[in-house]
Amino acid sequence: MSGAFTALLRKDFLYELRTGQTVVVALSFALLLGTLTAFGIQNAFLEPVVRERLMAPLCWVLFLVTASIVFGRAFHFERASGAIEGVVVSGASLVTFFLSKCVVFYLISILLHTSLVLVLSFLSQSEALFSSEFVLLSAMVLFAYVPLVVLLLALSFTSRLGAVLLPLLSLPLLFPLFFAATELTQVLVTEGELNFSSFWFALVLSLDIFYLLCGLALFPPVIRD
Amino acid sequence: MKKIERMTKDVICATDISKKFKNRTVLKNCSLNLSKGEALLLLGENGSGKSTLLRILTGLLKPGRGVVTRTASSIGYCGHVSMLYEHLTVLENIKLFCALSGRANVDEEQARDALNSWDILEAAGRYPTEISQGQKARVSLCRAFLTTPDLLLLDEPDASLDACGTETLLYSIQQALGRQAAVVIASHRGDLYRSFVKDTYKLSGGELTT
Repeated sequence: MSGAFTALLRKDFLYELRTGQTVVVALSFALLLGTLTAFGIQNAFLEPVVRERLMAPLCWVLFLVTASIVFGRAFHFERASGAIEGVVVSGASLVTFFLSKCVVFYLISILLHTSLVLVLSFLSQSEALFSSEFVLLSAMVLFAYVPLVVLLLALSFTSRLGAVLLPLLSLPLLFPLFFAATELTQVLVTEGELNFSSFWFALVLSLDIFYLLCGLALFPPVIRD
Repeated sequence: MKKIERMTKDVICATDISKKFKNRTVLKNCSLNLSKGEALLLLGENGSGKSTLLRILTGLLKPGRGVVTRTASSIGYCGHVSMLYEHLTVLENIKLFCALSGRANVDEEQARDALNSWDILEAAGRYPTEISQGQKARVSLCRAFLTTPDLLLLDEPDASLDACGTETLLYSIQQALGRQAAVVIASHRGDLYRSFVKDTYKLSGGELTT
């Protein structure tokens, strides 16, 4: 399993290294959307307190929009020339394939989220999101987001209605996660610390486990079908 | 009792396979079985359902009805598309699929030797988009044979090969049969394989006949 896992990771990293498709798009959109939003906030002449409070929903909404664009085509190279069929026939564990995809998507998500937060904070002259607790929260939210998005992408590319299916399925599934993330970030910005005993924190933690288990259980049959 | 004994020996056993695409029936109650060290030839016109049957046997496609039982621990498949990653070189593709098939012990030298035996060593460092259709077919076949599977499913393997490539193909099939692999070949050129196949089936109108 470790040999196959390493080989699959290497394959994905080589794809990024040689095409730069996902990382370049991620960084470009982070820069573009972060800059536009920051200038929008600057031009609104908001009170510093209001500006700080806006950072919570903005950083998550911008991440969701950018990640949808970035990951939208991230699976296409697997289907080109039937390569994914080669993986299925090779007898490699599809759970291993799923986990390798999760690792790569997680790293790209971290890069995208960090760039967005940095651009947004720097241009809006806000330090609200510069805390170790926000790093922990972000890591947890992305941990729940990644397996779900890998599963949904697999579902959408094996279906003819893929383009429609992805937003239709992702909206209700991602809503509780990003709502909880926004609520927790809001509290962190206003009170200066994360509320570990809140309902929203428990929800993010549960979704971390639930979406990972869903991915592990459903990804292999989705790819085989 | 004999049937049970026969089934335990089979590397693959397909029973009453039917498949429809929308309202068009492609396969009707097709049954076949194959034991270790045996080869089976599948003949049929274009669109007769040979590729569909082979994809069902690999597990890439689900039959509408019927059961496929595979006891083979590894499968080698060569279809109409190359099934190669376009951003990886030929050599990297070969090494990747060896690792995925549990043959991580295939080192670069062995992979190069295998490519050399298919006369495509000079393409080792090139990307699949930079090589010809015939070379892609050789790479796919090289990959299928290098993983030494128990079951080989070859869909028109000779379609893009020249005389030299066809010779290598026939030699490789005989080698595979020698190490007790089961081989299913779908082709229009029955004459190439008749000397070593156990059964020849013909697919016509969705029905499989001997």
